[in-house]
Amino acid sequence: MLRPQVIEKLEVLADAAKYDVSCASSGGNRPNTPGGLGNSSGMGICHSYTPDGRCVSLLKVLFTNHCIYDCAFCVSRRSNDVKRAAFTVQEVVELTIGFYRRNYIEGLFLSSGIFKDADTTTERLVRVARELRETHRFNGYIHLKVIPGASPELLAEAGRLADRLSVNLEIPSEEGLKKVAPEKDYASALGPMAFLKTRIDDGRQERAASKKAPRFAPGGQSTQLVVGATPENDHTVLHLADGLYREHGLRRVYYSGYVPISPDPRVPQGQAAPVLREHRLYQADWLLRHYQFEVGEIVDEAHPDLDPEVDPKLGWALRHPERFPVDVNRAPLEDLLRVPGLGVRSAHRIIAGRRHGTLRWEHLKRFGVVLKRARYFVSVPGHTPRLLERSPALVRQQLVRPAAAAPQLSLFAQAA
Amino acid sequence: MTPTYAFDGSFEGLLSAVFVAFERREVAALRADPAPDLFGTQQIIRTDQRQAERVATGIRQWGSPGALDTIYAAFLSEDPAAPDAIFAHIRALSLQGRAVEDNPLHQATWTVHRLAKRVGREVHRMHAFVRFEEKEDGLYVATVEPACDVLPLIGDFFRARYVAQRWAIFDARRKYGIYYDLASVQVVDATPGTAAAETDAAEEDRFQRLWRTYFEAVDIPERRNRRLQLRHMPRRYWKHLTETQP
Repeated sequence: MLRPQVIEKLEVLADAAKYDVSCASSGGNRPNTPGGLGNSSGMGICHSYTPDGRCVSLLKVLFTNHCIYDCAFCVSRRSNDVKRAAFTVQEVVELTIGFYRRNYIEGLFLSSGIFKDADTTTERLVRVARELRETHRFNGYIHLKVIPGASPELLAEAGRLADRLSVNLEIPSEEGLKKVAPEKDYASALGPMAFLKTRIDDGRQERAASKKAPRFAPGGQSTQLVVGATPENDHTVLHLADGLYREHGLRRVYYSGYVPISPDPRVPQGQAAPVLREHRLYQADWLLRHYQFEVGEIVDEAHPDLDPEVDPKLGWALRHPERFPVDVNRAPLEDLLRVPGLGVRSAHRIIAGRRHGTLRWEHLKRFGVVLKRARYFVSVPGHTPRLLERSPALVRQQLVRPAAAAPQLSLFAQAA
Repeated sequence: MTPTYAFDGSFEGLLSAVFVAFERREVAALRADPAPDLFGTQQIIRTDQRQAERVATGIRQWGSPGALDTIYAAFLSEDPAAPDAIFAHIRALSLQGRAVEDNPLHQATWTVHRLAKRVGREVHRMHAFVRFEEKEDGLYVATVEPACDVLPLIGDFFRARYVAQRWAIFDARRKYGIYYDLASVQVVDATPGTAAAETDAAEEDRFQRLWRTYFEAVDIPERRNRRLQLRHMPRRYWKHLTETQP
């Protein structure tokens, strides 16, 4: 039975955890066991949405918001006069089970302020996970936060029990981090990341060889980068993310627009959270992971920030008119993926569809192509665009401010 | 004049009508609810399990592995255009096989896929939005009002997830439910035992309060975006969601 104080603890410790967005319920794929409770599907499920439009998928809480550190951007920093609380292991377990049985959540996302030291804190988190898995036969999703500086034995135990692990770099450069959290450094986060990468890779290989081998964080690792608390540009952010994907094997990098909740002068005050910038970063991230883009194609020294007016894919297309139009009936997948308004699913449908006959304009709409954008970049029988070749600036104008564009321009030439 | 076949409204009934149409080599309009038979052109088609099964076998042969599931999902959309589109789609499958499924310009196939996708979205939303309440006897009960008839498609999901927990989901609009008794999922007319078992009021109340508290605590007011919230979670679901109930 949960005591009445739990409701106050939940309010404090859920509020304190809400700025960590590195928290989807995807990447699992854990089946239930006979007599067990729960499973997780690879895609993840969003059970609810809060008024800010963000999804609620997991019970996301701090074990405690007591913390020995004093990071300028964090609401739980030790110098902040905020209500402090701490759960017991039993309370977190009961909340998770009670919510899960009612289909409110996919599972648990458990982080914590650091009390006493990294190992004492981590040991508590691991104990919650162990209780859930072993005593309650819980097979739903568990995401455990990695506390920088935790010992390898505890990390290994965490990986044995959790579906995903994450440690947040938070600030997109080490110099930036040092300015707002002088007690922290990149090594204490990258060290555990590297250790876990080896264990996760080994775990995956063992399971490929035998289904009886135990799982080790099958959902991999993720991290969070806060944008707008410190002055790094998008070039820095995306190069860091790219490196994390390539060299550290991370499954996901999350970008969180800084919400100015701290009066500390080392971080910006009073501005709105940079949601558009965050949105563009996610679009760029998608290009890296799903559209076969290199990071240098999206941002470079000459253009170190993402264009707020156009999405990064359209931005690239306008800078490279020589790559268009793309012949929908002949082009390989990688060229189809470069067309603005043509997504991964549409590209695959086009490739499947054209096996059976020549594709025409009418097919594209039903394949899910956004014709208002794609029409400047694709050719099909009866439609060959010419405006991009003549003037990318006019195409840009059409797409960004369609009302202002000169009406008498002929946008398309009919095929001879 | 195109004959009209009236079937009993079930999926097997629809497939039986398709069978008969194939057998007689004629194209008919299919109706689930027999309209007034003004010209005497309507024929009542009896539902025949074996005939239905033979059509299903045909679909499995002609189409991709998911073809039958897609057709069943389109049927569950309850859209009035579904039976005729399904019939035309099956005819096309019998003549052209899988090629038809990749051809979005075939009108009937397009309709079938569109309807199946609509049902698929509703299924996914049920996975997300079903909210159980614990009754005193350990039964977990939920009420939903889906836009299409999705109960046949969500039983497996909840059974796998809650294999050791008795549960029931009731469709308030269609007045029937599915019930899992730890052995199998069955169709029921009403939630079993509701008359008898009361909610363990105190405990259930506590969890609902905790969930509402949690839901409010995780909102970030500086990022308020009601349009985005509503796009993902349309208001018609709010009636049965613990966190959005008054």
